[in-house]
Amino acid sequence: MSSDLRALADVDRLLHEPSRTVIVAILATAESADFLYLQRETGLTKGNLSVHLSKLQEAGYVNIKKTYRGKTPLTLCRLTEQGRQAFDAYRRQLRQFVENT
Amino acid sequence: MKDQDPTTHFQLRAAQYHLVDGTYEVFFGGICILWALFFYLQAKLSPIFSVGLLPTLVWTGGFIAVSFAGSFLLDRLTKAIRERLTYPRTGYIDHRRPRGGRLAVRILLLGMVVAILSALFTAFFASHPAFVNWMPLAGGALFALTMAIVAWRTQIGRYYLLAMISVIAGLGVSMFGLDELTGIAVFYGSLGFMLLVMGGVVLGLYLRRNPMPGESLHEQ
Repeated sequence: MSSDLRALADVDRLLHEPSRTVIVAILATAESADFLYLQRETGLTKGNLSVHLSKLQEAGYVNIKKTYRGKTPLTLCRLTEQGRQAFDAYRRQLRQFVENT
Repeated sequence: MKDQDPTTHFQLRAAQYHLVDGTYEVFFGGICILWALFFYLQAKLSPIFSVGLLPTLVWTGGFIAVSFAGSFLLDRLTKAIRERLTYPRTGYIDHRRPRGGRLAVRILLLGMVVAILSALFTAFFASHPAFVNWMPLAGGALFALTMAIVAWRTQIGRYYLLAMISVIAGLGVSMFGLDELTGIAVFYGSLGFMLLVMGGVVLGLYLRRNPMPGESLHEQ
């Protein structure tokens, strides 16, 4: 296996899934985003988005806070420092792979 | 964007989000209308209340007070519009703000740019006196520069249009032969009106394209 392929095999599998990549990319730009915004941008169903967010939360990449705005439930998602570093590393690895091939 | 990374599309959309509903134009339009009223009042009262240091201090302090109080109130108003209309429809996003050293560097850079531009304008006006009121044109150019930067950073085309409108309004008012304060008042008044109209149209289109989702969409 060449070093490039080995580098690709080493990418973070949790982030190497299109929906989760998009979720983390959005949260990397923002301080926080709510469930509705993420759902509209990713086009996922509520259930799917919840599952992806739970996985990211379990890995310590995303912090989820449930609150209310007025009477409306509000789920705020925020990328943790660990998640930010993981996403930066993931992008770096992918770019390196694309540049070398 | 030149970057081929597909995630940049989503990141750009997130960066554009606070400009999509037209409330940004409403905010700046409101500020411009307040400035127009302030300069109109100053133009009317200047013949009575203009000689000496005290009036200068009062007008300068008044302008700063109007700008800060207006920004505060209009910020509250646009936030209220977003909370009632935008966030329930398309969701909420809180943008990252520069902190600490980066914020200080930005403030320092902004201060330097304003100081250099003010010096350049002063030098320019001193050598091109009287027959044309250059202040509206200078205001239009500065506002156009701001809008062009916003358009370039967010890739939202209508801000280039606003930049063009601003220059045209500034140039038009400069050629009218109004006195300086009335000219500035007319410039900010017309610019504020156009911004409010554009903000209203964009907000209307946004509301039409994004109907309120069912309550269940908020719950997880």
